Amino acid sequence: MFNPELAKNYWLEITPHRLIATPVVIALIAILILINAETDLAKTLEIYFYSAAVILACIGGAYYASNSLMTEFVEKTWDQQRLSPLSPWTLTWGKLVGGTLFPWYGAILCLLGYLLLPPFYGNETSLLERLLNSFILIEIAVFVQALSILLSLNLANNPDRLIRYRRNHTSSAVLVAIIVAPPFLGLPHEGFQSWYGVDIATRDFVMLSSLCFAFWAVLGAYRLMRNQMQFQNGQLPWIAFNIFLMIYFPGLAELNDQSQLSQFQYTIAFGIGLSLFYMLFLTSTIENQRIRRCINAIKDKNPKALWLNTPLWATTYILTALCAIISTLSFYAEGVVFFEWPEHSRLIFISLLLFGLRDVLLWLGLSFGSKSQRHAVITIIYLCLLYVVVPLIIAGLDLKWLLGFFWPADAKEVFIIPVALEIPFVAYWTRKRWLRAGM
Amino acid sequence: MNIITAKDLVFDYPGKRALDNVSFTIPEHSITALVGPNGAGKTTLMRCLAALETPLYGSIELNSVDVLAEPRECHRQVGYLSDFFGLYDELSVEKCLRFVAACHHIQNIDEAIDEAITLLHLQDYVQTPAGALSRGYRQRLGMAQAIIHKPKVLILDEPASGLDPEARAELADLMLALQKTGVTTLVSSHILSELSEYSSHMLIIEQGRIVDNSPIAAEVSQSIRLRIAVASESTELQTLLEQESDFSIEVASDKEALGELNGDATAAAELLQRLIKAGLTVCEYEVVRPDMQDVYLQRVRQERENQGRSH
Repeated sequence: MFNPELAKNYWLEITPHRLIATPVVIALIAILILINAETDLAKTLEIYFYSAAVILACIGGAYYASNSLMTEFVEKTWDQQRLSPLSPWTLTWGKLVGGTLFPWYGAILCLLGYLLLPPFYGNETSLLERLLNSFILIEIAVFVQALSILLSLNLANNPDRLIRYRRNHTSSAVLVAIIVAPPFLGLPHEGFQSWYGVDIATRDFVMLSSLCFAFWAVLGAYRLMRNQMQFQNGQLPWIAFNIFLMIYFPGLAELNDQSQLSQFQYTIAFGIGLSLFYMLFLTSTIENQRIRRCINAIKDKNPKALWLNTPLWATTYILTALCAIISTLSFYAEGVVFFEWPEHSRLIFISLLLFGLRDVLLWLGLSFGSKSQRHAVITIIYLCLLYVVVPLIIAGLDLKWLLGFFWPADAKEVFIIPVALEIPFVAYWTRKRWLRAGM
Repeated sequence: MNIITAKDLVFDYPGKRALDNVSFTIPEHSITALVGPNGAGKTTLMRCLAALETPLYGSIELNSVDVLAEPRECHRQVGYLSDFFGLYDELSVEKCLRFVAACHHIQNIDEAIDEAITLLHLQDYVQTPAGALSRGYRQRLGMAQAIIHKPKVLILDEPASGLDPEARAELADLMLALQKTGVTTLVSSHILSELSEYSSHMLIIEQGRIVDNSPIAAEVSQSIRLRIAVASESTELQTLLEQESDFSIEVASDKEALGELNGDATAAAELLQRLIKAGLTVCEYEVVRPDMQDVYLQRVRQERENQGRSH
């Protein structure tokens, strides 16, 4: 059998009823639109077929991709999948293509309509242009579908929670698709996109960007699948992905004042690193075992084990710290001053980094508790208290000297020492919780 | 020869140690009953053995495969059936098996499917969707999926839960049939009386620790527990048994006696001959297998007492 996972999904997804009903429904809606269209039939058809393909491949695809994995958990077949001798790659693409066979069937019918029908109604868009648009759509569909699988696999270590909040996770996957897809799919792709000052034709840029993102999403899904099948992953692809994001997005930055461009680009890169770090640890399942393995690896002076077991959020933190150091040195070299802050405003990234360290220690401490199932939610609540409620109280009581413990900066200065003093206390508390949990 | 050797396994859940320095061996071709109270760590242990979870410390060797270093090789050698026996409800029995067989890269898939269907008596349900099967038949299909690739080791987590008596009896027969083909089985269950029908070894786990790991007494014991009954009441039964130097009486009456014979099956046959020769109307002569439940409770209580003392 070519790919058993694909074959299984074909048996599950493609029924005779769906095979017949899908083209009929698409055709009936097209006829309805044609009958009611007053002018420019070709344009109307083009918009209809393209939009339908987007909805089916991206939104439907994200839903089906997430659901195909959720069903494995609900029907308790996931362990069987993990035990199967199929390679992680076979399982990944089998699920990616197989789980979304039905929406792809509909989307391909719509794309055929988009490519072939409008010319009969005097369409002016060239076939090449429509082919390229279709190609971008396929790239983005693969991207959001792989992202959907990736998001579900990220929670696979906690199957009970996954089953309990199944609908929320599937809806989230769809929501992510709705947020992520439109920037790439907005037609027409005209003009030029500037990237680090180089002008690239918008269509080419979108095509290349979507190809990159599709690649990363598929790679991410594959690596999480490897993890589920008990393979150990190294850190290189994750490091490469972090660096890609830190380089890709700052390139899009545009400012009228060119003198502040590099400062702005550094800020974007650092912001991406820090956001990834927070996103990762707040969505991680409890990692006591992994952290213990890391500690053992350090004790045993085993760099390979450390490389394999370091949590991804820790890797991202190190990369973000490197970015912060490079940025800070560059700010000093270029004499950059942020806003109206005095000179030491150049240390803002260092301050943010220290707050990040405090927050992850807080999260770890909470996760070591015996009732640690909701530690992420509790962490978010504590962070809201620390960053919003307490500073407001401090401001209300006019105790501004205390603000540095809760905020990296105020309108006049950047705070470093208060958070640096705070960290050892939080670290001590986290260690105490770790020891109390019998780790 | 041992097919599974586990050493010093430690597995932690947040705030709880599920396996605490667990070490044991499982001999080849045995059927080992894994017993213990709820939350003792049975499922975690089975999942570690099947390379579905990675313990924090320790090592597992399964059929000469280092499970922690080569989990995928272990997956090839193991058949695992969880207590939920997950199935694709919308697929027919035949398609479910075809999918699993293809995943295992089995050369002659049709032959493997036929074999599994015959062994599990699923002939009448080949085209029935898994979701339409009764619990008993779902369990059979789960078993068929677990054994279709002819694993060396079969790990079954509560396979009999929710089955009717007939299905349980069939499960016991299947276990023994698989044992004859060379499969080593590790099975957990709460129904100890049922486990004693087919288990050759017992592994007791409590609070993440192995309390006992031994062959079930009758398999290796130097003595046999016998129950002897006579058709007509006679004081002779007790008198004759008291004269037997190798027989120690536990309970005796004019009609029945229970005791332990120091010897093997031949010694038991010779004793029976002597009793009949002496004119006793022996109508029942039974080897009393040790009650697993009694053994289990005895060992667990003993362990708890030891724990209490050490604290």
